[in-house]
Amino acid sequence: MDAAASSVEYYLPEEVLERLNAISDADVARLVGISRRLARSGLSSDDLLQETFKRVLETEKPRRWPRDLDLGPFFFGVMHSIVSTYCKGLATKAQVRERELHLAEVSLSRDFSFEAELADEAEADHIRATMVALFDGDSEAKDVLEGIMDGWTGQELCELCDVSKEQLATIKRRVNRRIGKAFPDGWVSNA
Amino acid sequence: MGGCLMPRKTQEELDRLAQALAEELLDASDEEILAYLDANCSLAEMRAKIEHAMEAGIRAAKKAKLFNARRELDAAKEAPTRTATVISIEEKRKRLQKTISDANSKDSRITLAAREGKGVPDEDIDGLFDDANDLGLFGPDGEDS
Repeated sequence: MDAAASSVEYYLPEEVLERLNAISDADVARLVGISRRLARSGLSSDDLLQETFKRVLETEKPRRWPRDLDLGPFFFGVMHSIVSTYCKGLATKAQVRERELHLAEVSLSRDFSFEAELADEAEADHIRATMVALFDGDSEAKDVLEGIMDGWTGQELCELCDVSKEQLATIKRRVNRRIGKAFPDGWVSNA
Repeated sequence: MGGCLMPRKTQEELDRLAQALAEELLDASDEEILAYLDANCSLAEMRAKIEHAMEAGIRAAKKAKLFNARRELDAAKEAPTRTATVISIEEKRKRLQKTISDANSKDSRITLAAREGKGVPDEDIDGLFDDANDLGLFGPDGEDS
């Protein structure tokens, strides 16, 4: 009964493949860029992209792509969900079983021992310090960077740094580009 | 925050930053995103990365499908199977008579009609046979126990 309705709301599997096979250069750059910003220790951008495609393309219970959503926002949502699941250490029973049988090509398991947590936190401290040091001599960018990490909104950042919305956008692009270059595979300390 | 360790504060800061940077790429126009290209990766390399991830994703999805099919097959194998065997009324009557005859040698209270199996309608034979079968009076293959 819902077959017709659902085909209107979501792309059919063959349509998803068609869209991915015709992916534009801009979307290629967008997906890779997003995966690199969201990747972290234990979950590389390659792993993240692969797991994302698996979830979108699997035949049983795939992540369905709403027709009114562009490629970028849809894939961002899937990647974000994978990263959140990874960070919380959650995995479905099926994923656990797949891993046990070595069927999954990407391991999404994470060590939650006290020692591992300590190591993660130490690594995060190191990454943060390295990142802030990238902007030594660029106090404007450093303020924006730290403001984002502290959770300030765009409006608050404008007030904090005494810049216009447009100036803030330019500074954020500078921050993004420099971090992208220094951390090409997300938050890993050997970057 | 109490305790000797600030619980994942820095990680939370990095998560916020990661999300903000990723969202910025999401909001950028196509022209901006192409100008944004990370200096250490060309467009051709990025495309190869996407194609590789897509192929690997398709492979993993196929494996997952096979895995689920195998699991269903294993479950079906483990499930108890009951094969329906069609037994004719005559055969049922014969087996019942034999069982009753055997029982009669041990218990003389069974009626003469039942002992001889005469005058019992077919539908009653069906019911009697099923009851006797449920009671385990026949062997595993329907043979008398």
